[in-house]
Amino acid sequence: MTWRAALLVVLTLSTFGPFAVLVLQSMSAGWRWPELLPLAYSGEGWQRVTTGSLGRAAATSLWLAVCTACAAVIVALPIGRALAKLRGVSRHIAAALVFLPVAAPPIALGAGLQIGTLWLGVGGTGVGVWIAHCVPAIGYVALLFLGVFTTRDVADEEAARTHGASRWQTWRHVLIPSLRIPIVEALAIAFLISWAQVALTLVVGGGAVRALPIEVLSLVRAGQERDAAVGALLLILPAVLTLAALRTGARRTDALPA
Amino acid sequence: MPFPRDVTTATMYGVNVTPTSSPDPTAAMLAKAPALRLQAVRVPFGDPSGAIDGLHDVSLHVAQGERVVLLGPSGEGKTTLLRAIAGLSPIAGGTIEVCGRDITHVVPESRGTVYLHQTPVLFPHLSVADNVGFPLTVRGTAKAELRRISLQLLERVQLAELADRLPHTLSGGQRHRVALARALAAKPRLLLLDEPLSALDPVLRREVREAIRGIHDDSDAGLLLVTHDLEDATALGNRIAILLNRQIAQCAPAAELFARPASVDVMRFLGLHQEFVGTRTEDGAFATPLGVLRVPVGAADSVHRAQQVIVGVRTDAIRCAAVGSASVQVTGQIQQLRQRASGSTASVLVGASLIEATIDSLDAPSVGSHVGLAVDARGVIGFPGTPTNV
Repeated sequence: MTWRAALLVVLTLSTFGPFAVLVLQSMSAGWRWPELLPLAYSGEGWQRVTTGSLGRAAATSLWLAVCTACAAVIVALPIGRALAKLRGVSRHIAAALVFLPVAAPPIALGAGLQIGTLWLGVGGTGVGVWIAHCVPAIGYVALLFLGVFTTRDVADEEAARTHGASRWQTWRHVLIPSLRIPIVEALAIAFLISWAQVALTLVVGGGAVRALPIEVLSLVRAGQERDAAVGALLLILPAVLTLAALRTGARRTDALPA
Repeated sequence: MPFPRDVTTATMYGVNVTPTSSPDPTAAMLAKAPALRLQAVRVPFGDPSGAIDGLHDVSLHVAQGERVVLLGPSGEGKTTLLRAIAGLSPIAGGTIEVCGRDITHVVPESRGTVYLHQTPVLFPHLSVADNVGFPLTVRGTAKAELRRISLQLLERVQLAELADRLPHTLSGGQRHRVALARALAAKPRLLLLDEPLSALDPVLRREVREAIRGIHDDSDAGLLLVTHDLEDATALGNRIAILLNRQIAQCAPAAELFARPASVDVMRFLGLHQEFVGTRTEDGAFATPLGVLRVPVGAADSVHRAQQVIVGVRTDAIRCAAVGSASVQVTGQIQQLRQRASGSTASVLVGASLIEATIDSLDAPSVGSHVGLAVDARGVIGFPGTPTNV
């Protein structure tokens, strides 16, 4: 075996190994050490998605992620645009402020947000967790839009204005349609940030908000390996779908080779 | 308050569209006012505070239905001025009026102006027809009506068959024509075109030039067009405004501009004249390497009093002629021939001066031969100045 083939094997195992184990575990009806494969298979773990706590947790995560994605894009789009218009030191300072929640450890951010959400009277609620998720999501997405607007030619907006479009009409008829792909990417990123959020959900939700990552964490700690594997696969699913969708979109727009 | 764009509905479209109400006094007043009047406009370059040098005291007017070409060297601020008129760049002082209305501080969409970028900017996600209909869309025009007008406008630029195509499928010339049709859909009082002909090959250049002329001829909107090409300026402008040293140095019809540039700077920028030092003779004429020339009466009084002047002679007013001809003023030896599609010339050494003179390209003299030079007095102009200015 050449060193390149060896590297390929290592890469394949490290990439797909954990997922293969999760798939087998989720369908097993008993898998004990030192068996290499499960002794029996069952669909019971997946059936519990619709009947058990995993389904409820997935639904909670879904609405949190959808709302976070929408809010993040709505807020971050104008922020990114405003940042791109700044020049010199003020731009660096503003960009650093936006980057702070992204760079800060989630647990530290959560500690601060917990106090804030308690003041707002939404501590330990879904709304509080949603607000907490929005903070890093807005940071990420604003930085994405900063990049987009920095390189974007505003000639089409100017053309729209001088042809009679108001600011709002320019946004609606020109800017947003022309930013369709970055907006979809931003929605996907913000969705995934919220979907995979553990620390902020745990700290701000105080255990009362049972999002999917929290539920999977509980199942792992409780030793319910099959249900934990099902939950983990559910967590992975949006990331895989997003990756596939973005790659398809990028190929369609010639951003990637076929 | 949005600009009243419907005053000239019938003439703008030229088809089936008539005003629904009787003309009002405001409309009549607007019809008499210039399409554009700039008064002492100052436009900063880059810095809105005006701290950085920019355009200063720019005054200009464009009559309704008139085409004025703004000509000047690169970096002089032609595009900046156009953008300021369109409301896309801030101004530091002065007033901008469109059809008698002060629009100095009006938002771009309500100025009654349309600004077309150097490269036509079409909205990539909209079809050709929807691009043309964009100004009507934002005004809430019903879809059926919008489609009808878009097709009529596309018909006028011979692109109706491409109505449902997307912009990226169009050629460069087609994109320009779609942009012009869309501009008309906005029914502007003033059309601002920023170097629409630059970077086009000669065939496309002619196509777009004709499209601009054709579309504007049916309109009573004013047109201010930026170019740095004298040929385009002559072909398109009723008048040509020269922007030099951040000011309008002269604005006049092409023939007047070429015959009587207002200053040495304008003359040098146009590049149509050759400059000589003229020394006053006893009879009030000026001795130059081209012989004794009389500066036309139109020249400034100071020229007639000066002992030394800068004499400009249009190259096409200096002709090679047979030695001994009655019209010949000086003789010289041909050093070089320059054959051109039109206006071939020869470099003729007269004393120590090398003078460019027009030749008959069908009967061109040979290099080294001796020729006479005849000067048409109508192509001579004088400016006060010293030899160091020449």
